[in-house]
Amino acid sequence: MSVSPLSPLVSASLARASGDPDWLAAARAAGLERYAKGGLPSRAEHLWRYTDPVRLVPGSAPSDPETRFGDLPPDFADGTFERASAYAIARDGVLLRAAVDPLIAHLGFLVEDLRAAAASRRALVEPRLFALRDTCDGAGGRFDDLAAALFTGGTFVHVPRGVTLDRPVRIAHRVGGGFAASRSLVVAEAQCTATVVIDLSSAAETDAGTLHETIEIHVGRGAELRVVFVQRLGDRATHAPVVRSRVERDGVLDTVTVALGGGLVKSLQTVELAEPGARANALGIVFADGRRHLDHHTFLDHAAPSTSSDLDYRAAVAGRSRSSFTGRLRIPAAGARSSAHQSNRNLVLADTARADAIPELEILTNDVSCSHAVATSPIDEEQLHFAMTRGLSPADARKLIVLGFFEPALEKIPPGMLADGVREVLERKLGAAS
Amino acid sequence: MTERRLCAAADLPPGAVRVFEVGPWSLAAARVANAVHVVENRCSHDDGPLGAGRLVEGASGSAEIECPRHGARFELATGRASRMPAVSPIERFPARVSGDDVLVDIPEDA
Repeated sequence: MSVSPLSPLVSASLARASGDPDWLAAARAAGLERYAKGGLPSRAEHLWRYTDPVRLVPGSAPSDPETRFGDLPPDFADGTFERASAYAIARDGVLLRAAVDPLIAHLGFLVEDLRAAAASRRALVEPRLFALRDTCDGAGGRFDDLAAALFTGGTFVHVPRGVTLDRPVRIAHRVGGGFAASRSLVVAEAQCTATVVIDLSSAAETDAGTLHETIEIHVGRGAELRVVFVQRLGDRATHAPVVRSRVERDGVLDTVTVALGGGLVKSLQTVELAEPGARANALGIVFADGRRHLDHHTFLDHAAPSTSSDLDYRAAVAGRSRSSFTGRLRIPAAGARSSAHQSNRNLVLADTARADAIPELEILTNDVSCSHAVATSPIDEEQLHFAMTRGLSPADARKLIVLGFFEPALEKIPPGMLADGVREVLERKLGAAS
Repeated sequence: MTERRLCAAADLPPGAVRVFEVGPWSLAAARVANAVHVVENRCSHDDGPLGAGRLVEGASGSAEIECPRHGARFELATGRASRMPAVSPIERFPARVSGDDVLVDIPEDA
């Protein structure tokens, strides 16, 4: 694969911008310019140590998005709203349909296409879209810029001040075999409470598409937002997600990231705790089998005093797969009286699989409470033995132990949504891997 | 396994190392005398880009490739790690020159 010439990307960006308001077209152009000027990150840079950035460079211009979604996920009860406050489906980055429970539509929360919202709700969108590009040192910005220039669409979720959504917003996103770029914006205004559940899958298991995806999350003062990402792409898909978040005074952001698929995944998640009292809890589970290469980077920036964070990423690797986790935690002098905990645990299920863990703690003040932990090991023989003395076969004992290892994150997925599907996928993969 | 064309034989002169992206694989191909070797472009120690490394002669006279990152070496004919810091072998793929082409066998599940 060679680095593609820029000209098809320029024309694609211009074509995408043709229906956009001027400010968005200008932002696309700026993104493309930065992408073109930036140069590829060097393999010597630590974030690209394990993943060659060349493999994320699109070989062609974005393909035209498919307009049919296919079968809906099993937990998707579009139209009945028993489990969700709103449903949305997206294909290749474009929102195809979105519906809000009519009984609570008067609350004024929005789930709609981002590009349409950019045109019709400029006051809500413009101040926030792209606003997090330079937070957390602009880490990973190059491919974020690419997604800015080329995004075909995405979801805009807006929860107004003081509104509590008792059921999650459920979004399903499916990608095909081409190159797609998407961008979504989630805004939780002050004092609101909401949960957003997004799952990403391939239209066909053999689709070898590439998705560059940026999601920007704004958590307002005193707001509580939980966002659940479940990635179940096919074996050949490439996924480069960039999730950037900013949390204001006394706001709480809970994220649950589940990565089960994709042949090559390079994920970046940043959180800026921008004002005192802001809190972030980030749980992640990664299961890699076959020849998957999953590379996750997190960056938590305690930019204000008395902020707190708790990050727990867990990976299980089987077959000849790879998982890399690089977790950066920064507490500058301005972040005094903050507390932070970071842990990364890896279960290695095969001699040919590998997990790399690199915690990076940059603590520039003494007035903090910080801890971190990293562990990498095969399944404990004693645990296996104990489970087998209870009558389980070795394969079932392994399944039980791995599922138990992931359970703290799975418990955070809203009831009736995806958790059972994730367990099924894990059980199937573990059955095949053992 | 599927045998596929990697490049023209003329594009891989003796003593050269080149990198090819084939589906999900990044491969390093080298030609030593008349033999063509194809290995994964990834050091088993720290994922260094082997294809950017140089060809060297090992202690036993075998052709080896040296990782540019930390100097680990691998025997091209077997994939065996012959020098620290790498200890695990790298994957290698059967390759041959057929007429004007270099052909390589890649596993189906790739």
